Amino acid sequence: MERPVFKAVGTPVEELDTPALVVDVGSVKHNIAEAHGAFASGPSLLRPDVHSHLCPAIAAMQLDAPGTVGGVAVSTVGEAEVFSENGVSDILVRNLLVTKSKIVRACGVASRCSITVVVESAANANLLSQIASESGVELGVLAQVKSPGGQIGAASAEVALALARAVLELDGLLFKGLYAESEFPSEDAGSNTTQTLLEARAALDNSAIDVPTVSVSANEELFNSGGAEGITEVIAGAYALMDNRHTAYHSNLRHAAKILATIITHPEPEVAWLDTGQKASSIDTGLPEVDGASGVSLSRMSAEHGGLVVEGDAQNSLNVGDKVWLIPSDIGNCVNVYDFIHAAENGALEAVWDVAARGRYS
Amino acid sequence: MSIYRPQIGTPLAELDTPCMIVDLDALEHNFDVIADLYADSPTKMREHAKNIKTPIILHKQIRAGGTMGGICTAKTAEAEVMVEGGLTDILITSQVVAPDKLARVAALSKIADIKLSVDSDGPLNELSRISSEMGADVGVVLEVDTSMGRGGIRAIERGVELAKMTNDLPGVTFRGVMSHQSLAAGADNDRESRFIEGRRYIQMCLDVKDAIEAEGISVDIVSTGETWTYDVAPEIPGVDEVQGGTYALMATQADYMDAFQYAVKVLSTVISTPESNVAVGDVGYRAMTSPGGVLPRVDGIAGIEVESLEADVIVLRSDGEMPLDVGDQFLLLSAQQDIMVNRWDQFVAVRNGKVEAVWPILARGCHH
Repeated sequence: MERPVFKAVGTPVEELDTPALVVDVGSVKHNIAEAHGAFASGPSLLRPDVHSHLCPAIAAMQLDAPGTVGGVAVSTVGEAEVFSENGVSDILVRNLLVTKSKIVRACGVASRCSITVVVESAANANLLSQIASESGVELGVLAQVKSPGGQIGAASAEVALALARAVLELDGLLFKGLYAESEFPSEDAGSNTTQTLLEARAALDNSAIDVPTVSVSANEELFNSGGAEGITEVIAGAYALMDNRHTAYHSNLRHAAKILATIITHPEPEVAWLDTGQKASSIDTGLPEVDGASGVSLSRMSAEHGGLVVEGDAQNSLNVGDKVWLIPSDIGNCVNVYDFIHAAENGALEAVWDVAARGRYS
Repeated sequence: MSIYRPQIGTPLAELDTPCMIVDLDALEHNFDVIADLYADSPTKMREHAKNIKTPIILHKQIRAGGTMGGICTAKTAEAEVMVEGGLTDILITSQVVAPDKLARVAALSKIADIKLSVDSDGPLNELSRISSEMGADVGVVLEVDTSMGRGGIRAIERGVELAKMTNDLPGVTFRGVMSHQSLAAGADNDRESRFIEGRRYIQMCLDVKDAIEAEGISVDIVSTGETWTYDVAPEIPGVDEVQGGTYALMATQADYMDAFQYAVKVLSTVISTPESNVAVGDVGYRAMTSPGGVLPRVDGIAGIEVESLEADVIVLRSDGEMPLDVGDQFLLLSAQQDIMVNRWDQFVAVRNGKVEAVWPILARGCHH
């Protein structure tokens, strides 16, 4: 587990042990107010995707804000276990659960919390039904509809209808509606995903099947418009902390999460290295970006170190020991390598939050 | 902590997935390669803990043989975990500059033989001040840049200056020199090329040692080399230790090092088969990483390629009919294991298809 030099509340954030993941609470509040405000008055509600921060303290802030369905989305049963233990009462698990042990664990969570799972086949629905019945619990079920360009889900409205009918017949399962995943970035694909979902919904409506929920995830276009008619909930998560790859889509949101790094060597005028590399930032979707330091940019990262290119006046002013802020590329992937978030208000440490669901891949 | 921890004896088929496993036969094979090669050599292994992050596995190599009895760590917090895990001789291979962290290094040196990589005089003075105030003594090893363009002195004279300076300072003791090499991207990696490049880089480190010794300062430790030079280093007189890391678990980016076997793998389950030749597995880049976009490789099943790795799923495509069905398991090999290991909290150690041990990765997340 991460084990930084813990600093007292009130410590200026630049004095934290590095690498440190620092979250500005004021910016989180701003982002939540902006995003949730759109849903409070929009056609759909928001289901915060806590896979993007893995942190119960942030989930609580999201669920306290208006415009939500009152529950969260996670990717794995392990994440559902953590968030249910931390008081969340309504959880949608987005990854398909196909093995007995996973379903048994999901049923365990369902005994104390409303759990909704996603299915794409009648065979999977049968297995879920059998285990839920044996466990004496009820699992909510959304039928996944394959989005354009996606891999998983019912391939047509007809297949989705047949799947819904199959689920409706089964004990231990409560059919709740439809679900689709968008690809990121989704500005173009988004409307196609919405259209695909609405077509499936129409097929169910025409067969007099009640569809209380129509849920879509990771869709920047729907997110910005507060949803769409016929879509009941939009799943989104990166908005709370933000990251580089979402910057282009959400100019009203602030980069609330940054990594504080230290220059540990400056061996040549144009070369300096940070104590922060791939392990402490996760670069699968791209390098982090240096924030607020002119003449300094990140050119590469090795496992443990970040390589800076230093230009102009910065070559003279930059020193070993100086701190540099980095904005991560993919916030969920970055938070996942930390056990602690240093929460700051006005540049001073306010609290240390557990990233309680980090590493819960199964 | 309510993380799923399988019982000893659990068959692979019953493990919840995704699950990072370590194949004990392969791990022990890799440790034996080192033990055999270095048994009668003055050069010994100083295994790098940054890859494994788990004291019990590092102790296994020390018990197998071929080591100098100690290890490297990349970071201060890793060194603390290793000392608590019973390791007594540690070289921290990254520079440490913050005063509160230098104090942690100095504190550790009171209970273990601690050496820190240094490449500039500011942090060296600070280390001396803090260590001497604490009544501690920290070993100083100068890093020499040979090929990475990262930390390390660029000129031999600079090494001599810093060695002399260290000798004059309280709270620190000059111990030696170190370097870390990388083969240039796209360079030939056959044995002959490795030996030519490896000798050239390691000689740059030895040149600094010779210049320091010419000033009458003794150099106890020349610590250099890594997995790709593990067999080059012992052929060069004067190399005391090799900082090997990748060899223990292996990664596909080092597949040309064919003396070693793949010991770390990720077990995944097929969750969907959207087409007759496509399967989707339950692990993505968040758990596996794909550094530089290099994808994992399916282990032991011919004719299946990894098509893409998304955040939480992997897409496999087969030449003909996909042999895997929903619920079937498969194993993946990582392109670069130490970044992947850092994302997991435990190794599930497996032999003959069953769990033999579960080892917490105690230094996971110790980036600082």
